[in-house]
Amino acid sequence: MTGSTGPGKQKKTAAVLLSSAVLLAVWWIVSQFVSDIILPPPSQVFIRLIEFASRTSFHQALGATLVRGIQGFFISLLLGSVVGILAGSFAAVEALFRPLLAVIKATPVLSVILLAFIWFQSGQVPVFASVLMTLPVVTQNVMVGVREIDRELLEMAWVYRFSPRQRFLHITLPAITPFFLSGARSALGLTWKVVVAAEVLTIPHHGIGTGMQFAQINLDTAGVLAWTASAILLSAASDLLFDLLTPLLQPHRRRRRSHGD
Amino acid sequence: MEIKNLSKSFSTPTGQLDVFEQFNLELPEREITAILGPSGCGKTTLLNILAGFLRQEEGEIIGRPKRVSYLFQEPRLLPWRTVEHNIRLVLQGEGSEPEKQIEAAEHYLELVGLGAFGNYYPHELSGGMRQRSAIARAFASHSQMLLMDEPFQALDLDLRISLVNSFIRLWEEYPKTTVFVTHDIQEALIVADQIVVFSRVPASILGTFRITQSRRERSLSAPELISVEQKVVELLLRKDQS
Repeated sequence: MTGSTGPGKQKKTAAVLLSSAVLLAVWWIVSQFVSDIILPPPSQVFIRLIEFASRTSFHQALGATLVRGIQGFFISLLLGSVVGILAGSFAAVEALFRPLLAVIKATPVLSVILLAFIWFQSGQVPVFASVLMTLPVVTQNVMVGVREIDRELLEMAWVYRFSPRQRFLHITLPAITPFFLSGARSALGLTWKVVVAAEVLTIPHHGIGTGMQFAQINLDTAGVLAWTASAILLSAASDLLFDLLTPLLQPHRRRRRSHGD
Repeated sequence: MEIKNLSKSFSTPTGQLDVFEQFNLELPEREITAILGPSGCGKTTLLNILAGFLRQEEGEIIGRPKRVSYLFQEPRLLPWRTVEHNIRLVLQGEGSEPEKQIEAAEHYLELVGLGAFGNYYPHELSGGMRQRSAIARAFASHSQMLLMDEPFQALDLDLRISLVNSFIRLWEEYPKTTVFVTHDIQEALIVADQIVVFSRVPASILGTFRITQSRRERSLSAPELISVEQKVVELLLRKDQS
């Protein structure tokens, strides 16, 4: 999980900068040949984003989406971990949940959102939809993690008479942590996409998706793109925060040194 | 301790494999019994039955104690816990206070020469140091029986000698009924009170040798050990030809 250092990292940064520059250049060139409704130039979108940044309504939208995403993400982590641990430990539980998870996985996001809109208020739909869409990812990862627990360590725990609590705290939990984190990382990205999509369709009072929807109705393409950029930034920021915080959960991975006899 | 009329078989693709058939063995209390024999002769199976991982089909183990420790070929430390914490975890059943547990863990680490390394994670130590930690754990758990499955094998010769010496020092201080599976005759000669040579499966005992010399004074060049070594080698070779 640690990034490469030295010349390797510099090269990587250079590649990212170069590809971003190419993307912006292509965008700019295409925008010169079509109307601003089809594709406004990057500068216009950037200016719009700066304008947004000073508006209270934008802050409210961002805050509302953020809260929904966080709610959805943590509910999914909690549910997914419980179901994943049970399904990984007991074949019967796995058999019980397998068809359900398979169906959820195959269900189009939009069906979930539309159905949820019938059942819930608009503000709750994005949370519900994101939980449902990310649940299989978290569950699957945690379940695999439980199955991959080192049998040799379990034998050791058996010989030394670990209590069920000790076994859970000192073997199961640490063993599934890397699997849980990789599931959580995928779920996080998915969460923002589903939350914004659900907001577009259900138009709650505040939300990035709501803003996007209104911009689209007004054929304000720069606005749609500016809202999109804010969603991307939100997602990127959450990924960054995630990567900064997760090493705290695995202290043994932070230190690496070796000693001879 | 006594193993009486033990029978155990495994089903294999080629049919049933009888590992033990009406097998008997006496394990003197607070002595080290070394078991030598060809690979696949049921040595590890015996340990696993004694540990309770496997259940025998017939027979009984008389006087099997409740608390057992096991030195595996690998250290089997929890990679996400410090060495000191790994040892503390086998103490927790005793319900003593945390400070006392830390003290106890450090005491045993001290005895295997790892006093300064309690706060290290296993991956930060060398293979030999990890196995030392496992030895410290095996003794810290206050078991009445110790099972050993070639715990010194994965190491270089000089490391092995120092590890065996550490083990003997610790064992002399905290003796317990020990079953030591190995395929290294010299290790058995240095460590054991009694050497038992197994045949191929179904396992029977080809010979039992007692070593009377005190462990601290043993040298592989002593006449007693040389004569035992010769007899053990003879048994192992004779069986190989059959």
